[in-house]
Amino acid sequence: MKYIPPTNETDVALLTGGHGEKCGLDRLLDDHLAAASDQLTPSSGFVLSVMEAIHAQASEPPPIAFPWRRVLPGTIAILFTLITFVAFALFLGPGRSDTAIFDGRMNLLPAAFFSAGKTALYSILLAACLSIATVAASLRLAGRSR
Amino acid sequence: MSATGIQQIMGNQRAADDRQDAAKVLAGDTRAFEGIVRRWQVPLINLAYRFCRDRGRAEDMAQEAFLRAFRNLASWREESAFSTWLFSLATNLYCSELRRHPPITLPFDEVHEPADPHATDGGFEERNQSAAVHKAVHTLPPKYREVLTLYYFHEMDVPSTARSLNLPEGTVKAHLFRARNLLRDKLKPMLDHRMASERNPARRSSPRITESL
Repeated sequence: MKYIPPTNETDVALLTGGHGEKCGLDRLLDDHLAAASDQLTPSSGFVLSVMEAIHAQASEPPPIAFPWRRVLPGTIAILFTLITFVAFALFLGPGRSDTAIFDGRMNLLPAAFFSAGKTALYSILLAACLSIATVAASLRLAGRSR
Repeated sequence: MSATGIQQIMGNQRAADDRQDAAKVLAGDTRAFEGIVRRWQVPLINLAYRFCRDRGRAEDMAQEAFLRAFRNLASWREESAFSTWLFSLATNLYCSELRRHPPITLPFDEVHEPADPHATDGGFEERNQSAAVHKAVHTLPPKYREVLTLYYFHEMDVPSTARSLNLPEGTVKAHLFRARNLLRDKLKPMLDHRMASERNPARRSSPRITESL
């Protein structure tokens, strides 16, 4: 059966076969789903129990806001490091020699930095520095919250 | 003064009290929330009961609705009536709660029927019919069941139902139409029996309605 949207709420009854009056189904549903005899009276302690829960919630300290101001510098540093690593990986990828970097693209960087052995060393040093900085920042944050 | 006029005055008084209490709560007077709870406990518990058909659970759900209302009171913009905002919040909570933990519906075997239907009084038949109607409603898909339950809770007011469910009125009407079609099939024997009883009031036997569901 195709549904034809009714123009107003009274038309719902018309669509269901009411033709201006409530149809049998409407009356049946009205009798049993909207019956006043179905009304529940709240138990005597309901208001008290709700208010206890409300007071308990009101007395709780507000949730600690996320420390964006502290986290932001670290996040920027990590992003910068990641971008640097990606850039290194692209320039020192397979099939590229360290010297290829200097053919006009990154000639502003010191040549020694890109020699094969030293690049690995710098990467390790950078990773170690990053780890130390992360641990130090965590300890500092934990120390302040105590 | 007409009954409608009295209801309107009471409604306006309620709305004014709600605004006043909400303002007090937002200013830090938590105790003012008690007025809101007292005014709306009966409708909220009854609305929950229509969804779960379990008194204890209905009170728990209503309590959770009040807690949520307290937490989010600042989000009530006073563009709509407090009751509309509260019902919408409670309806969302009840629907999501029942989707997570569907109510345990009574098996048909437990909807007792008399050995001799002719020997019973009208009260039994009424209870029996009511159980069958509720059972049939609970077998509807959730989206139809929610609309139907709220429609009858809001005394067949489509706009109120739509606001409570945050649905367009057209969607509510469409869901009502489909819910009724499904129910008409499920409750056919009962409807036939009612029609027959209306034509011939002397015939008051109870059909074995639950068998058809």
